[in-house]
Amino acid sequence: MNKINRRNFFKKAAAIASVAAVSTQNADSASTNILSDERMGVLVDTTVCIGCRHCEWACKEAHNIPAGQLDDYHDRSVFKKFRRPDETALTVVNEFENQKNKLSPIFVKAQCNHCDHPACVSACIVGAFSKFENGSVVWDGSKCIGCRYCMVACPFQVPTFEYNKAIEPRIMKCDFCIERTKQGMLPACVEICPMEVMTYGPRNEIIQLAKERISLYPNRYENYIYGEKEVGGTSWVYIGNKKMWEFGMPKLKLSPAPGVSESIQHGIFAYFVPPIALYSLLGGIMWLTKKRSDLEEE
Amino acid sequence: MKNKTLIFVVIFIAVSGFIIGQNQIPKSKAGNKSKEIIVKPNDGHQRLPIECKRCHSCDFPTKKNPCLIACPRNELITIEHKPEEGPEYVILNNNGKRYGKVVFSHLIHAQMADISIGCDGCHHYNIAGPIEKCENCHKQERKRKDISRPDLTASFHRQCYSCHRDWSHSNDCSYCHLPIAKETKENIQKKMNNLIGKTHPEYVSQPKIIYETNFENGRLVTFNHDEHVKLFGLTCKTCHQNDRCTKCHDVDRTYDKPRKHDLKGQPFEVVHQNCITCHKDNSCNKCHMNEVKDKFDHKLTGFDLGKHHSKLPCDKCHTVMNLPNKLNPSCISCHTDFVTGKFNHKRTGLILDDTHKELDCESCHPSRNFAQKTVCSDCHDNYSYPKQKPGKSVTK
Ligand code: SF4
Ligand code: SF4
Ligand code: SF4
Repeated sequence: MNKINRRNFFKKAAAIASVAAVSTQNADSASTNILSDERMGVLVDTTVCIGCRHCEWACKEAHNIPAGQLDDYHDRSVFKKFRRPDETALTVVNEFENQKNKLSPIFVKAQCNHCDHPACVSACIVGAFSKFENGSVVWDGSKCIGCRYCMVACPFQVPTFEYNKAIEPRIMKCDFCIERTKQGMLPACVEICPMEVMTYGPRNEIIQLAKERISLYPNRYENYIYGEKEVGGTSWVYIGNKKMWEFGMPKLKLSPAPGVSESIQHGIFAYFVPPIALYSLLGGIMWLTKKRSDLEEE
Repeated sequence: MKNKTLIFVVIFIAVSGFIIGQNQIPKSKAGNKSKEIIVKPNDGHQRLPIECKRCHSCDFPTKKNPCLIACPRNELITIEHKPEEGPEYVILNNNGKRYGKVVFSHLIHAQMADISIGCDGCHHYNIAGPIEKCENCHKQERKRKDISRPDLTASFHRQCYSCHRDWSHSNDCSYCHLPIAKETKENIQKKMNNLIGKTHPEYVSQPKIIYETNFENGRLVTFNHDEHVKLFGLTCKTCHQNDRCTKCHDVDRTYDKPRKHDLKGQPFEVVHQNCITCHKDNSCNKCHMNEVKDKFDHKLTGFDLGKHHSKLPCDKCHTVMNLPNKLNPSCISCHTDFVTGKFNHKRTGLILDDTHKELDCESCHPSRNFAQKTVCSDCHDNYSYPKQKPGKSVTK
């Protein structure tokens, strides 16, 4: 991957700036944001998840992240701490108390939800994120400059950065197993799950399926499909015996809320603020962000 | 060849259609042309007394497109068999890649189905006839067009885990699966042998359960389980339906401590559902008390069961079981043959001699109370039973 480090950023920025000065279109055309009617989705039925974490293992295996032995994933001590997806695990399962039956806790798998109006796509100033026709939102390492705006913009706090890697650190997040689905395979986590917690299919069918299950088993499910409308809709949607914000998910607005970064980027291009001014502003923000994160790391 | 088969099929359908009668098949469509409509003429499931729409969403379900609705399982009708009629074990997961086979103890599970989820808890949609194969509805492939039902792997795991999660607190695959490395013929055989002739152990019921309730005028309810089973002859199923396995398995069973009734906030009918069928005419304080109630003692009713009646089932005398109605305590009210001339005294273990044979019962049994001591002194000074006997003792 042709990774751009921060030192090269300003060199490249200057080059882009000269292009951008000619046409604002180029900056936008770097990323795609396709909202196809046939886009795929996943229904996560949290009422059947048993917390075996096979999905975590399979996801790592599929993404060349050290995964270890599958049987070791039955260790339940990891549930003591709430975890978020990070650069070592693009999906994680968390445990929550089940008030209806204390013996059967609730498990909720988290990963990128592949928003229909992804904040990460909007936030990325170099168009390293794209939403593709099959619904996936994918990061492209050859474009990323490591500014980490995506991390701030994502309402689900999904993208993470390989802080521990000195050479070519990557932004890491679930890519909906795009390499597998391209070949007609299922996402790794969907394929391995013993309970078929995740049902993979066209998003509109997925929503239909969720509605059907809720109406067939009204005692089993809370009548709410998390992700149907949240931030304008997500490809991965959740149902469960409670609303998902009881299970560590954020309670979000239903309108697309791509965050501050989008208004910076798009706003500036829309009003045609000279790109040099833009980049010095963004560079300033970046420097501040970096300084803060460096401080945090210490 | 093809033609022959077709003709055979058509004749077969026509004949069986005739045998079954006309009312099961939608008349308008039952002609020879639409051979798909009669799925299996002999399994008779069309004859069930239920609406087709209970299970099928379209008007004319076919084998190819049964258009089954998505599983409202507790509303389905099943024909249940005795557990013993089913297999002792079933081997599952024949093509496992990561985990080996499961030797499933079918009989042991089925024996408990009666008081828990019932056969249809697992064999849902099995409305009649032979057990349907799970894969008829649940497809092997995870990647599939019809996603309305879980695939085969998931449907199995979901069935098992609906109880086993509570029970074992484990999601360790090896709880059921043989590890793939140890999946040898011998190991499978060993597991099978373990299950041959094995049945679920008999339920061990505790003699009494003390419930702690929120009822002000009587916080404690003593439930004498033993009596309900042994004295009143109730079967398990009378009260236990839809029990969770964890009611017995993996529960800290400390019965001497009052148990919290975990039905807080539920309506009266739900809280009392098991008792109310029989105790509907009783006042609250029949069960709700402030202290733990003793075992039921028949003496308190004024009729000591003594040695002659203590082994009788209640309904021998109390024909209306749920209302222990007051009976006339005199012996003759039940034992109509306890009268002079009719009664064969040999039954008591004593053949009366010729002198005593002629006497009225009252001469020796005052007020015909046969439970009381026999009186001799009315006629014979210093005689008392059984020192002196009015006849010959025999073994009964
Ligand atoms: S593999 Fe399936 S059941 Fe296991 S933790 Fe992941 S989602 Fe839950
Ligand atoms: S969840 Fe976050 S990372 Fe995923 S698409 Fe939405 S905004 Fe982007
Ligand atoms: S879709 Fe692929 S990348 Fe995303 S969580 Fe599942 S396995 Fe991981």
